[in-house]
Amino acid sequence: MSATNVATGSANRLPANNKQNIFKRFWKTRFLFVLFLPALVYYILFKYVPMWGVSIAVYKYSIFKGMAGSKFIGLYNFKIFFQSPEWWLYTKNTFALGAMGVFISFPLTIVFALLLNEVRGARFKKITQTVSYLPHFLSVVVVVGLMKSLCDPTTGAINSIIKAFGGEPIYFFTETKWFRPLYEISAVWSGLGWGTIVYLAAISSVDPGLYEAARLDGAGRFRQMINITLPTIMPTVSTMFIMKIGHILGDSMEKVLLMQSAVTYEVSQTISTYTYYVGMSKGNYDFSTAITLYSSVVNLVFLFGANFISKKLTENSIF
Amino acid sequence: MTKRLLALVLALVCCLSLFAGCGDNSNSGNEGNFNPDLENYEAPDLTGKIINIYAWENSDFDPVKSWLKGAIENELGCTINYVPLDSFSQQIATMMAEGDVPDLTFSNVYNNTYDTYGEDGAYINLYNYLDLMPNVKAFIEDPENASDVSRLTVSEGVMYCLPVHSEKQVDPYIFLYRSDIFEKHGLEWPTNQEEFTAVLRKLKEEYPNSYPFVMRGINGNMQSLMGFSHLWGATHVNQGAYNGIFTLDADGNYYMAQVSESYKEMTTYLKGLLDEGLMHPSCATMDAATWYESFASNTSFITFDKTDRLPVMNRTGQSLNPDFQVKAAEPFNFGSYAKTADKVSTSFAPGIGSGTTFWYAVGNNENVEQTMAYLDWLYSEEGVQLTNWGVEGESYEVDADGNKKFIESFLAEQKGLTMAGLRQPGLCGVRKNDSWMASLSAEDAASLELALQYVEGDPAQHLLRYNDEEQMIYDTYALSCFNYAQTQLSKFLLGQRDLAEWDQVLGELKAKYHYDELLEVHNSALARVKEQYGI
Repeated sequence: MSATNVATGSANRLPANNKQNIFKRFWKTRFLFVLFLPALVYYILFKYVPMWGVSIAVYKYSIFKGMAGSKFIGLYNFKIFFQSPEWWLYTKNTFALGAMGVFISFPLTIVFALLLNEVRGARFKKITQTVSYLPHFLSVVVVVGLMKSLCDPTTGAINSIIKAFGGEPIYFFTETKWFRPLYEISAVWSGLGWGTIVYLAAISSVDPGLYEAARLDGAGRFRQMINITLPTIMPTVSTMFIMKIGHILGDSMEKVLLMQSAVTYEVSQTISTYTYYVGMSKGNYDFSTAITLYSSVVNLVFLFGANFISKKLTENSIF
Repeated sequence: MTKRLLALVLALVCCLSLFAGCGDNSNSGNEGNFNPDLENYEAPDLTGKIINIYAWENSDFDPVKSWLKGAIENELGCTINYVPLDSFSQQIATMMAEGDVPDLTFSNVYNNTYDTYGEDGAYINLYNYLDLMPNVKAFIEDPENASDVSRLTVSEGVMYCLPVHSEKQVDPYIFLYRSDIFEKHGLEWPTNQEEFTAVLRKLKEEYPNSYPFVMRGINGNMQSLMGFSHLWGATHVNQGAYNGIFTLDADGNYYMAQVSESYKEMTTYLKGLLDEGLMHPSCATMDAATWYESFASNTSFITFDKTDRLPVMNRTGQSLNPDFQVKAAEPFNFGSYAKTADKVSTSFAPGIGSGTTFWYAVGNNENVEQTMAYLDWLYSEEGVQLTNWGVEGESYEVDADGNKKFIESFLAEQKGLTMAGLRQPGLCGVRKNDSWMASLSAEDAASLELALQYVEGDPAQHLLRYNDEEQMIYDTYALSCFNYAQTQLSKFLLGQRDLAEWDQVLGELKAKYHYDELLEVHNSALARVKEQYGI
């Protein structure tokens, strides 16, 4: 019997040997298990135990009385949310911001990583990387403050240029059509460089022999990038894409709150800002949990969907 | 073998650390164990104690670095750990969720969330401990404070949030204008809408790059617009509807001012000013700093705002230009209201106590006794004296007639009373009017006196409390309904929606945003309040 058969064989046929083998192997690798223990404890404590907290969504939860002392309200919180006249608008707005992240930021990051990889001057490459990483370390408050200064209709640099060319100033923060572009442009600016790290790491593991062989076959740098670099990092791209899709209903609440004003509510009110106004800021933990559970379920559906499609199309998946 | 042992030990340490990090926070809920002997009770000495105050962040001054915080610590011998929270409600909610109840909570936003914390046991019911806090007891029983106290009283004998009392309102809304610019160009302050528009045009002629009229935060909290709307006949007496959706009209019925005829007239006029370049185009997103700057940089010359901004505005402006002077100006009514009204009122919300919405709540934790002692001191005669005037010889002096006067060098060094922290909520319980008036320049004092003439009365306020069914309707529809109205108002103002469609908004609110149901919820709750308090 092959090793595979032993591992997957029927427990009826080789029960004693199988158990013995498992214990033997466990004892042999016991120190590896000990090293794994902190990670296991971490995941149990911080990822699995909190899942139990989801149940407060069906209670009128009182923090000091706990679950046992709180009143069971069933699906009341979900009912409130789905009866709200604008629950679909909030979902749509959140989805729009998330989708822009997937279809604009995500490919731009890959393109930027590929371009960085092609830069020959080591000094120029390092400077470009450093400059592109820096915005990542600015707080979202500073980023939005910068945007507001730049876009100010009377004193902002952008409108000064528009006016210098005879144009009319644009009220970027009070026109609904500008909210999403501003959100995404600032996201690209602050996250583009930082996002390339994982792809540059993947690119660095490409076998140099492949490039050499391609060069011998007459491939130029562009052809090498398309036919060697890109296919080699595709598993990483697939994984990152699936993970990105898994957060499609996860906007940057702080940034949206800082950018929004009454006139842009119809595009800037998202699930997270609604949760903030109605749930968190009023201590309605149960309601917040219910809405967050809803967005998590939607995210999960997207995650499974993206994983399935990726598996079918590229044979890469995360599970 | 040593390496293996080391790996084992490190792994176990990591695991233990994780468990330790999940340890129970014992800083909550021991009121049940606090059973003092009321007859022989002695308040604890605060020397060496630490008072943790988690507070709403005040953008006007920094309490942590303020002179007054140091003065209180010197006086009581304690350390005040003052933590301003930039997003107060959310951070307090998070702290409560973690069972980390602050010793003292301070805020300017009051709603039934904080009463819920009290009912859940996070805050003490102040009425249960009044005998241990004689100064707080005297404050609560003083008829002068009856309006503030009744507003924060949950039910008979139950109050979790203690109001900060302002002796007299010092921040009424009124027109503020650059008097030096008016004098320079020989302009007279207008007395009606036509003259107002004319003077704005004249200023625009003199300063082509300017936007003579400015208001701030219109889309944010709408406060400037709400104040200005009084001159158009809108009312904002909210009678306990702390959510701000509906206000009471002159007949005592709830309505939404933002979709009223008064607002329509006002919005039409303001849009005209914006179109003509007579009003600052950034009004929709303007924050306080930009608003100050627009005055200091000769970009704007007239605004409608609070008088307590004058000292900072004038001090900042005069440091750049010695002639700079902003003063309050006589208000007048606008639109059709000007033809029918028999009075001029600029009150932002008559009935919000004496301009105060600030409160303290004592955390029900192991420090409850020392926190009560600190709170009681804030409302004591000594506490009120120190928190309003400071220390004799250091911040103020007494002249031969016994009158107190602030020392000029102290005000100059501290950049005014507000920056020093004196009479600032968060560090005081009672805000005296005499110390504020004594700190003002003659011009600012005259402006305040003028503004006070247009403040209406002070009817008692009682919070609306909804039953379960009403609460569900409120939770489901209120935010969307109000946001929609605000958005449409902003769109009309900024020209993104045709003003001819104004009358459709109320229909849209009724059709899609359950306006009538929300109105009914408010009216039912108000009827109960009236019955309970015999209004």
